[in-house]
Amino acid sequence: MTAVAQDQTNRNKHPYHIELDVFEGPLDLLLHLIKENDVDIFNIPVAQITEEYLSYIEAMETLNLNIAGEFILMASTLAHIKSKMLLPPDPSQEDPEDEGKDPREELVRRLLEYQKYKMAAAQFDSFIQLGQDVFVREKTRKLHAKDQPIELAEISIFKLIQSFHKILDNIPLDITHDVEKEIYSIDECAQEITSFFKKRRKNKVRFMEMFQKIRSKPKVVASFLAILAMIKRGALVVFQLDHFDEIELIATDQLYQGDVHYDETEFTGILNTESDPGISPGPELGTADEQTQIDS
Amino acid sequence: MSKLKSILESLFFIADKPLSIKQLEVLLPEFSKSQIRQGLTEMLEADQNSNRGFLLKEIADGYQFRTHPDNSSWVSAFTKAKPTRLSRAQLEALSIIAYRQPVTKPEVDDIRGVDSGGVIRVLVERGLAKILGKRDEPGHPLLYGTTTDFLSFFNLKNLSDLPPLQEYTELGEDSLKKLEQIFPETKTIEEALAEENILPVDEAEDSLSIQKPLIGA
Repeated sequence: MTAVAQDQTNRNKHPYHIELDVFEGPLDLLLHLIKENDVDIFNIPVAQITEEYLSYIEAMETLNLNIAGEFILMASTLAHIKSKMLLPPDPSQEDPEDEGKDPREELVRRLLEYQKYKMAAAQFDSFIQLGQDVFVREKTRKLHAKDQPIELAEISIFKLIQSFHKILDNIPLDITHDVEKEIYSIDECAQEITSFFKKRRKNKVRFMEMFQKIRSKPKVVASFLAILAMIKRGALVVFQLDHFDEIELIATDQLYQGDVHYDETEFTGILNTESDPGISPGPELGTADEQTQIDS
Repeated sequence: MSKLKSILESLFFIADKPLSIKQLEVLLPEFSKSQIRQGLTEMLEADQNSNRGFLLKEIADGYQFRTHPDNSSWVSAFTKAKPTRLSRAQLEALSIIAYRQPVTKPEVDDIRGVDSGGVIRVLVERGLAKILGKRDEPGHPLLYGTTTDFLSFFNLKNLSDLPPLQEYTELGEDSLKKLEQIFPETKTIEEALAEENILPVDEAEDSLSIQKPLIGA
């Protein structure tokens, strides 16, 4: 029975039982086919496996599943190996390294490598896990005297940006057609943040709270840039008590003193030192005005 | 029970994190390091097959009381915490990061045969993996490794406590020989970590590289 015919009978038996989406990738699918056909991984019948592989991809297509490029790439790799095995060795190809080498070797290596970690993953899943099988004491809440400074851990900029992404995700999608262009400057936002701190008469604000009332993306971006600028100037400090805790902003004395203004030159220094041209977002990062054009 | 063990028990009872020998040494200047070690060993042994509700465990290079695994259903009913199960993709990427650290994203992609960027980001966000630094090679790719929380999450003493990677099952002798040719001797995780020249991550640079997709969006 050919692979396709076999597939057909399988499908007739369980018309809706096609385990396609459970495969983590082309290697996972190939391992499945090798196991199902009970073939030696060191001696893969490429023609047979390729045929079955392709029929799976076809089934995916009929189910209208999005086929990831990786699956197509593997199909072409299989076809390439198949053709290499059919053809006699090319005498013009003077590569002694390739001489007598099984064209399947690289694929076998990848399959075995993947298999190792696939099994390790299953093992991890069976481990005793915190919060599921075993539990520990919850974080002990310490009481702080009012005047005592709270012990805070310094956090990296990554955490701050992660938090920022959360804020962006929380902005409701604008359904109305608003073609008005909003323009915010970093300075404007910095002044707002400063007055926000002054009004609250408290020098500590949760990072998320800062953005609660802002409903437009350009404003959020400009405010975030303003916060970064203020951190750079030393007017604000970012802290996090513990992992997964909320990030908090603390105003320093500098924020309360005098009238500090921020402008687009705030970021030019950083941009110019950027060594990798591939990831340089260009000079427009500096100006909040430009920022406003990217939201739509 | 000796005075030392009594004190240790009180400390473990109140601690919300595993306590390391170093921390205990500082906390207990009255006792020598070997005394503390001895006490800990005795406590661990006593708890080994105990059916007491909480047991002392060696976790993440420290010591911590953890509830008895057999009582999980009652404890979770009380804490109402929903278990944080990892998806298969996350487990795969995490096991590659754990066994191959320091490892780059393209290396994880290559082993899994699929793009793992999203999965790795989730692992970093959940605190199970972290950026160790950058590899000293063109392009300075970011290097990933596991965290202390990873050890804590999977009830592990340290990285050497990870079970050895299993090779392909049900192999004949011939195949095993071939396997040895394909995978020559492997380094331990500690060796791999020690050999890699990890460059520190320049925060300003990385804030920009992370911002990039945001600007392109």
